[in-house]
Amino acid sequence: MKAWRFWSLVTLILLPWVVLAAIGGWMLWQSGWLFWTWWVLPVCWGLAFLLTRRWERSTNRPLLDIKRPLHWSPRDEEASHLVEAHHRQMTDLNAEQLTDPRYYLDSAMQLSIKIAQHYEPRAADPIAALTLPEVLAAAHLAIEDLEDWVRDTVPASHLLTIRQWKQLAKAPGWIKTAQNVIWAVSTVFNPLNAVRYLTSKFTVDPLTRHIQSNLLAAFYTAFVRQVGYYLIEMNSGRLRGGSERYRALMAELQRDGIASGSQTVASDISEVTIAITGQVKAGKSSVINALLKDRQARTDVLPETRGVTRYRWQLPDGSTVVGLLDTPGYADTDLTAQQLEELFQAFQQADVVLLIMSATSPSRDPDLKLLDSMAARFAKEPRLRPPPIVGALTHIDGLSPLMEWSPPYDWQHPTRPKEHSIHDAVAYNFEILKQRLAAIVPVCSDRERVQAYGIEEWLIPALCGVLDEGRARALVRGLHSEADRERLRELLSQFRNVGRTLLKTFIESQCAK
Amino acid sequence: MWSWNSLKARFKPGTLSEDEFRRQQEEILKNAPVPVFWLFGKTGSGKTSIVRFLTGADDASIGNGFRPETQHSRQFDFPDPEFPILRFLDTRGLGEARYDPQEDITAFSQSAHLVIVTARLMDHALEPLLDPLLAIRKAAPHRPILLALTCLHEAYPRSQHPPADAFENADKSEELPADLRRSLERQRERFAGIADRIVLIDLTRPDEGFAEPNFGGDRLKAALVDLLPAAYRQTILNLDEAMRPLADLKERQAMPYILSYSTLAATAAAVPVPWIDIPVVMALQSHMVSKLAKIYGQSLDSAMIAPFAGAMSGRLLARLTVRSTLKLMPIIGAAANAALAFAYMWASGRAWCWYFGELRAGNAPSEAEVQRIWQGQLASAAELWKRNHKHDAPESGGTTAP
Repeated sequence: MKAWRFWSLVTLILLPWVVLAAIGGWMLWQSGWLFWTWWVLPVCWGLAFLLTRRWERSTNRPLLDIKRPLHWSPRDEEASHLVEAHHRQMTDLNAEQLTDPRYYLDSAMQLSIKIAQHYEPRAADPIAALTLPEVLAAAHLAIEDLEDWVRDTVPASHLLTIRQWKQLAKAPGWIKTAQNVIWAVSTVFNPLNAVRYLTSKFTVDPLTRHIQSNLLAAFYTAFVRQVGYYLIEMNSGRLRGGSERYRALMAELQRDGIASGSQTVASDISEVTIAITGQVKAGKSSVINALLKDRQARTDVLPETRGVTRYRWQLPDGSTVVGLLDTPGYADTDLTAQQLEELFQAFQQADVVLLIMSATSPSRDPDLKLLDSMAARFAKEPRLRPPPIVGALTHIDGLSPLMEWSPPYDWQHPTRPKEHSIHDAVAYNFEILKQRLAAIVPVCSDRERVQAYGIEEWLIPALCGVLDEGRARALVRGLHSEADRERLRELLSQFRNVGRTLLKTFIESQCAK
Repeated sequence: MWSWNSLKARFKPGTLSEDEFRRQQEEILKNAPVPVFWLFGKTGSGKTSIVRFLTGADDASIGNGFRPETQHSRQFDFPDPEFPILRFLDTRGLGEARYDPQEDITAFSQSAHLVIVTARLMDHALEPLLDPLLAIRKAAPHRPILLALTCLHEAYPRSQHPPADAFENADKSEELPADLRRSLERQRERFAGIADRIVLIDLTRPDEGFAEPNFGGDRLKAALVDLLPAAYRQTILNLDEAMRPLADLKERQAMPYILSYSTLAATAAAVPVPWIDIPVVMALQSHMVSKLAKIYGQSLDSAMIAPFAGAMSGRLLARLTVRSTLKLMPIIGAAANAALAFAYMWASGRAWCWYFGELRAGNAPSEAEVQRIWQGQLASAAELWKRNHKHDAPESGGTTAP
């Protein structure tokens, strides 16, 4: 449609309203009502002004909320608070700065130093340890994401030129000039308009400025978010494998994954491992047998498990395979330093920990000691998120009344005596272990005497509930060990290349003679 | 309104002041045959069940009754710390790296008569118990150590207990589940040379559904009586015998007190002087009556005491009655004094309980009825004393009872 046709249509559509408004104004003037109705305008605008002031405070700078992904370790989460603080620090966002590329570069530099210092608090030059490909990967990823953001959220962004972008900063200027002219003319006709001019000075002006600076602020916020996010990814070493490998792994993580078992690039390093730990005779082996539906782990009345055994367990949905690590049990009185060390070695290879506790044994001290000492050790390895811990309360058939066993038991809403006992046992143990556990479920894993109960009802759902978190840990764990291996391999291949080039040069120089 | 002074005036306990009574009571407690059991086992190994079984007290009062004694141990006096008949020491923190049994060994070396080690039959993580036990054994080689293997049902979930004689009789041990037999064998090896006796018990609450909730309880009592020093046996026997026929809750609550006051009175009176004039025995009686009144929720006033005043407070009459009841006892001197005091106290306690019970039921017994009950109880008290002291050698050198 040609421009003149468009404008004629617009005129035709708007004309009746303009005519009616003019007639209305004339009628109001004639009837002397104008004086009274005029106040509607300043009252509404005044209200708008107050609301702008109020809302401006909270929305002028859109709040930066970084979505914390599952694979982040506590250290990464702390770093994200730094990013948020950096964003809050920029108190005065003025339009001039926000359209200046150098401002963005400075802000990114400042932020990168802050984040690097968080990861290397003792280094004199915290950035020095980073490799060039890592930095490039971070920049690449951040800019790529920012591009997506602009495409998705800024309307008509594909038409926005840099000139127009820069004019966003100057816009208020020419709008204001035009407005002033209009007001000057109008006061000639009606002296009351001087008052209206003053009210509008305080109301319309901030409104327009607000809307215009909001877009800039939103862009800046998105910029800080992306830059901060990839600075965290870079400093925690997850970009060592390059941006492509990183993208592939994140895609794997986001994949609706547990259900769809299709092989992907990253699935070779993302198998989740569940370490099963607990006191001697707490029922570790029988829980494993109940999960595997098979008598693979030996069970006996006398203590059995020695050393770490690995099993492979296919989830009931038939697609995902999970590793099970059966670890040696510890006494219900105390744990030796050596046992703690062995268990920690096992936990390092695990992404989820399943703590087996006997409901009929009140001794929780060694379990507490284990969990607390593991937490302390994991804190020293801040690259990885600590594995989530699920508690399973076994031997619930041995709770009062002893002679009764007639599942199903609705222990969450107890009515029968056994249900009360199970509920109380779960509550008691949760009270002791508190937030150390992601969940605690009762089970009876005795497949030989009675049918096992609670495995499919509660234990498997509880494990699935933390499997995503475990998968995130598995991926990052794999990524790190892969990058460590890769680094050595690349170094070797680079040496080979250099050697080959030297040889070639040597041969060529020989031939040239 | 109960008033100590009004009672004192009624019974005319001589010139014993409250302070003097406290002092004498401490002295008596030192000599009273109060067995002290040292419970030694992990949490959840059934220590509280044993206390519950031996005393008949409920879990709440046991739990609240334990007072910290040393850093790792606590003490429970039954029925209360002032007038105990049984004492339990409970050692906690076993197996913790910082547990050092030396403090408890020093604290209890004189007082504890018997160590009861508790362990679940199926628990094989017991190594932390062994070292402290060896130290305890070494500190007092003659103090018996009894191993109580508990929670037998864990070896046969949801089945009733095997026949009791399978545990006692080696020939019938094939009737026991195989897991249980292997476990038991392992425990025997582990505690060889440490435990003097092993009993297998499973003390469960009635609502757990076992045909025999106190499985092995009798074997435990028999072992305790057997292992305790002779002087302390009769307390266990008396308590067991006295509690057995009682069904009424108040009577069951009151009985340990009656027994403890009677035992204390016997201890106090075991001196070669005519017993009835010992002021502390009279003071004990006043204390006992006020305690019983509290249990029955009755307040003591002159009108209430009246039927008793005639029945037993006249010293001459009381002396004659008690002596005629006990005249067949072949004992003399201090032992006779003790027997008289025991019987006197016991009969008064029982008569008061009966009286309070009648009052609660809305009856007002006459003096004659009180007299009849009292004399009946005197006879059974004498019986009780005779049965449980038949092994005591008659003492010589004392004066005969008046």
